[in-house]
Amino acid sequence: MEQKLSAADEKIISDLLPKKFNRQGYVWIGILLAICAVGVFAYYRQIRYGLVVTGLRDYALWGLYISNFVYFVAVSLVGSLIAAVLRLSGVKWATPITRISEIIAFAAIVFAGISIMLDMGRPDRFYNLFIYGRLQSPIIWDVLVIVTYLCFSFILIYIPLLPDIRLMLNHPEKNPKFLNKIYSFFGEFWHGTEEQKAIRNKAVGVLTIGIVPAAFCIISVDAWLFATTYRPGWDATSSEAYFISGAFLVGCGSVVVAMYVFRKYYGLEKYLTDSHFDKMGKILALLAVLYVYFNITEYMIPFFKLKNSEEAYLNSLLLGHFAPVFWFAILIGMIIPICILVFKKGRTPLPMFITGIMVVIGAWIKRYLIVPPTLLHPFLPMHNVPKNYTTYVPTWEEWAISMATIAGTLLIVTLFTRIFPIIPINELIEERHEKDNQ
Amino acid sequence: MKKIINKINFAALLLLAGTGSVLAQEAKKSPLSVSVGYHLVNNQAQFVVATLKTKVERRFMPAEDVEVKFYLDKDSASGGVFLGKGKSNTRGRVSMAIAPTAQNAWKASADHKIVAMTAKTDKYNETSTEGSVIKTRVTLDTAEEKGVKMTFEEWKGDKWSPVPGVEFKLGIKRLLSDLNISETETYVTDSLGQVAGTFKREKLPGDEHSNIVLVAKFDDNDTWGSLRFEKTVPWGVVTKKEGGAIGRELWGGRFHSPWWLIAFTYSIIIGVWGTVFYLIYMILKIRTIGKSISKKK
Repeated sequence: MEQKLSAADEKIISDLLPKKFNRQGYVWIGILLAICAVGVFAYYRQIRYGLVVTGLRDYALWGLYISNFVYFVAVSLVGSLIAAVLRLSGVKWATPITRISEIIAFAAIVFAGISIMLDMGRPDRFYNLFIYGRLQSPIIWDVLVIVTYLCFSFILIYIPLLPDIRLMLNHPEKNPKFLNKIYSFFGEFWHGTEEQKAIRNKAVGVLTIGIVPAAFCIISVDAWLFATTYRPGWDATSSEAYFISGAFLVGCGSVVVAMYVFRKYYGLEKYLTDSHFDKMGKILALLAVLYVYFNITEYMIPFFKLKNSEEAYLNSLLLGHFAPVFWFAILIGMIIPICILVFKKGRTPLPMFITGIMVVIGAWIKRYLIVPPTLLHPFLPMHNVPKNYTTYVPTWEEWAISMATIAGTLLIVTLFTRIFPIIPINELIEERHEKDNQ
Repeated sequence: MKKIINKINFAALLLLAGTGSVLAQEAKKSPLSVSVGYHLVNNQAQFVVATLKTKVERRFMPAEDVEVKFYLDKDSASGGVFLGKGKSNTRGRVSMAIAPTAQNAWKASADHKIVAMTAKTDKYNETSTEGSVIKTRVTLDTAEEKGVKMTFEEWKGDKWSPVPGVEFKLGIKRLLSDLNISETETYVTDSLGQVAGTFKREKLPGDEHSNIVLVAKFDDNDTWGSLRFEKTVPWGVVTKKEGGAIGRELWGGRFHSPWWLIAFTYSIIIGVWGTVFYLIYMILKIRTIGKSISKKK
């Protein structure tokens, strides 16, 4: 950074530079690694013995893995909401939470891709998808958009991070040697000259505009994976809007949870203020209302027509076997959060944290309810099949692998906070200078 | 003394309880009915099928997941041949091909006995069932225009002899079942072991060469088992596959994607990845500027 730093700037830098984990941090990392290790062992069993170790059978051929995939894709949309939509709208207050949303989006999209691989009985044949893949198949579109969105997400984190890397290189005594090497590799060339700043600003502008359609593409393709398959419950025309609204909601919920944890753990009350929670609460409430609306259209229209093929599926979802889980997801994922968030007290940090957790859990259950219930209600009745083909009960291997993907996502986010500042330091300082100049 | 008597009483009670539970387990066992039949397809594929049923709430239901061992001529002087074993499927059926390894035993006699045995399990007692097999063959003569002449023979002594009085069906193979060649439901072989039918299904769709498949068959005959013989004849109507947009439909193969889809998709890919490469170019530009500054310093 070329400009002279004031004492206030130095205070921001010392507050926000990455800090070593304390005991709690190491315990947290240990738990995540242990979950990942169990998941790796379960995956070894899946590879060794085949998909028969899972609860997946001829009818429920998608289960936890694909539900997780849909969930991760949904969470990844938050990167574009906070970092792009709010930035393009000229919203300044969101600056401290942009990087949180970007890293959540990146970690989620990494594990969305991995989740697809986990669902494959023979992942070693993945390359066949490129050799024999058909352009008409939504599976190919999915592979393309995930890879593309992964690149966008990485660049979206990397470019705004350059000035902060320089800041960390300016304080080598505060970092372990290996981290200084990483910083040197990624950002030693940043000197904060006007020319470099101009290019960076232009790149950020291109990115923020480019990532919005890319993000909408990934969610739309995700929705098309289901909508282009003719089955009860998936045959909908508004599935893209339904998926996008749900994705914004769960992404926003995840950011709120992360904001609370980082604020508490790193003592960032000055940077992630009550006002941030209040504003995020309003956005969350709006998104929850929007998602309720799309849920009504998603289920009310088929329920109104009640075609024979849809009847059994809808009965099982709304009134039958899946009803308790379905209504639980609707309640904790949308209705209760709206009830909490309409009150100002509900938009303070702790209630927001609890609401965020409810939204995240509700959203995961909602993704699960998109997949197996439909597959267990085919157009032709199930005849002459073993009893376990008619239901879907995930095995411990599936749970372990799925939990490992969630732990892996949290691990990426956690390790990122150890290496890089979770709040963009340079942007905060620049904004402060702009305010002072005004 | 009292203590000893008490101990004996206790031991007797335990014994009774144990015996009771064993008896209860025996009583719990369901009856298992096994029937075995011989199947011949196109005079070539020979296999035996065992059908297992059990009584559940006064109804016969397929007995699933029961292991069945098959033997050819088990009680013969040679001791017979073990054909193999298999487990019954959801329909309670197990089939076993008569493998080439059993051909010597097969050729040694005109008729055989197939034995299907099940072992004692927790659910069922052991069973053993016999079925007889007589070597047969079918010939289908279609030289006459739209006329079907079928001959059914059995291996007797050292030659093929016609078999009279056997009920056959003559049909045409369709997707899920067989369609009769005329209004006549069944045909019975005469003294020459022959039946003759006339093909009356005009304008029946065939393949692109007008081929259809004639079928002569009977099912579950007490003496002969099940038999099926197929022969392809050009008596159908040529069916041409309807082509869509010059063969480039949405459901077409990999290299037959619709042009508009190819153009649409690749333009998006080029646009999006063009942006990604432009951004990488910008990063490299920042890097080059930075490196030149570092060198100057």
